[in-house]
Amino acid sequence: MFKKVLVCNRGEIALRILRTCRDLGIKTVQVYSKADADSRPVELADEAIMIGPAAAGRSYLNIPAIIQSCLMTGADAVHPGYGFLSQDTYFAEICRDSGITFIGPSPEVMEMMGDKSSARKLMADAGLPVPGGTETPLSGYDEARQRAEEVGYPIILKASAGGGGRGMQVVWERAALADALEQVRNTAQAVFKDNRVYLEKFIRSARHVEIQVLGDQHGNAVYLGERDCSIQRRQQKLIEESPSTYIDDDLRRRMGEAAVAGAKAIGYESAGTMEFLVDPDKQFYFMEMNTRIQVEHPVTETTTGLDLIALMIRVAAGEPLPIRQEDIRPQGHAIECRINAEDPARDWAGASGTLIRFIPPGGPRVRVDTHGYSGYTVPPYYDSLLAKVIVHGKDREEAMDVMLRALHEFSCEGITTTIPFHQQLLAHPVFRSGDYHLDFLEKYMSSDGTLLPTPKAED
Amino acid sequence: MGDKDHHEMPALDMMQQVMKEAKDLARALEGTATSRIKISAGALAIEIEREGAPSSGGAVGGLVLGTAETGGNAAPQGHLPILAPLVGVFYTAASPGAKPFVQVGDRVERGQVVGIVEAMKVMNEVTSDYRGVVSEILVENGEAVQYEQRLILIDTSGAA
Repeated sequence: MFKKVLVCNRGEIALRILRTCRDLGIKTVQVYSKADADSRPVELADEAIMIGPAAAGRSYLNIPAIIQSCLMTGADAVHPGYGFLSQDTYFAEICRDSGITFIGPSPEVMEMMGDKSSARKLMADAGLPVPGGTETPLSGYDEARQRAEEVGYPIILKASAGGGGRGMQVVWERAALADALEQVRNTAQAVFKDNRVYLEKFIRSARHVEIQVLGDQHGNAVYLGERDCSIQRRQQKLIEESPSTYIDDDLRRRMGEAAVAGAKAIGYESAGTMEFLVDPDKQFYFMEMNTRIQVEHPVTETTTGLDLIALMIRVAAGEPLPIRQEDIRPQGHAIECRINAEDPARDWAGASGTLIRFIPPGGPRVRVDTHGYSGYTVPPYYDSLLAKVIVHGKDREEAMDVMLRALHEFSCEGITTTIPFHQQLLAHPVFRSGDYHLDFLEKYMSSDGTLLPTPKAED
Repeated sequence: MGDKDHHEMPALDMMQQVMKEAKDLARALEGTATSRIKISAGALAIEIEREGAPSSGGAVGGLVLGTAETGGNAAPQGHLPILAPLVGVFYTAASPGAKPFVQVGDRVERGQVVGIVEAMKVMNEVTSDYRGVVSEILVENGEAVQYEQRLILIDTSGAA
């Protein structure tokens, strides 16, 4: 087991990792930027090193400073959290070359799955269903037009190197294809420095259902149930829950087994997530794999009673998985609301400022992961996620009511957050019915940030 | 902040904890007229005096080392700190046994090399942002430093 883990992330996920390290008796080093000097992770870690200015490029993405910090403190492993360097193949390689364990999959696996078109092909070869589309990046407009005719409109153009919901565009008809292709290519080049684009059949009226998998270095892999993350704005998740109301036990098992088959096919040896779309005919399609811990992992921790960060650390240290598939029996219903420092009424614009009064909820069946505290200033440089409220109920109905109680308790003054949005959502008849798709917000949200009881009129 | 159990802590952990609290406190007092802090917990007592105040022992060094410059102004008037440009190991000389780049009392020009920070086997020169006289070297040769840690104080009061 590791003696000292360096956390190269910030905010709630840094705290989350520090907590498990303490549980496991592992010493911690927190690296941080100048903007985070007054943050809880810096306060709670055994050691803290300021590695650069506020700009992430010179701090949380500053590979030499992070490796140097490991060497100076004797940290024998790094946990990258999510975002920042968590899916950076080059960083994982340098860690390995420096004798430091990167707590995550191998750089080779990260590379294979980081490229969306390569991941799509690998998973199709492993027997996972993928939407009709191209096996290799498009050579140009002529090929795009021909392929789009073959699979039929609507199609979706995706950047091979894309991620985080960027570099994707739905094309409804041939007339719009040329412009869309140009746009996605330009975005891909600008954001990911890689203009390769492929296309897929666009799955309409789908749900986003993802499977948490966990593998070790000894060829074992299990699935830990699903998370339904279908309430999204611009491909960004806002609320996640498990189990999904959209799939039955048979489909759940088939998706889980497909995810494990995919993980085993690439020798996956950490926590990871296989993202699928499920259409109204209950067909599921592989979308992509996230080769890291995800924001919404507490949903799975709540239903399974497992500590995913601890398991990730254990398998990274070479231990075999301590659980078998038959030991995993998710209980009840869990929901997570992402409390972002954002204003839904201003097109989800990020907010920064000082939390004048910050009192997170508590009580039975409520967990809150947050780095916020009264007096804390949310810096404008990073992700807007301020807190995650996770609740557990015996069924979905009870979980939704516990969440409403928790959100009612949450005092967060001084900054605009998504708390009122979540309160509306959890009271919304369509959300409560469980009968909705990924286009829920497009249909029900007005521009002033309120949710309407019935769908907006089509323009 | 108040969630730590000081009673169960082994001596070393407790010492480190007290040091950390002391640093936080000292940082909070930067810019105020307070120049001396005494903290005691059980058998442990730590006394800190700020630079510029009459020194009464080694505790001053203990405070300054490892504390990054966060916009406060703990240095005496006219004494400005040269900050570490990156995380690494600070060296006062170009090689072991070589003459230090600067020593207390030396006159330095703006842009003059005053030390080295080694990171990932790359030597990064530290240059003075100021013209003046070296009044204090705050970090030992070979010591690990963090980003913007105060390395050397330059007395600029006599500089034209």
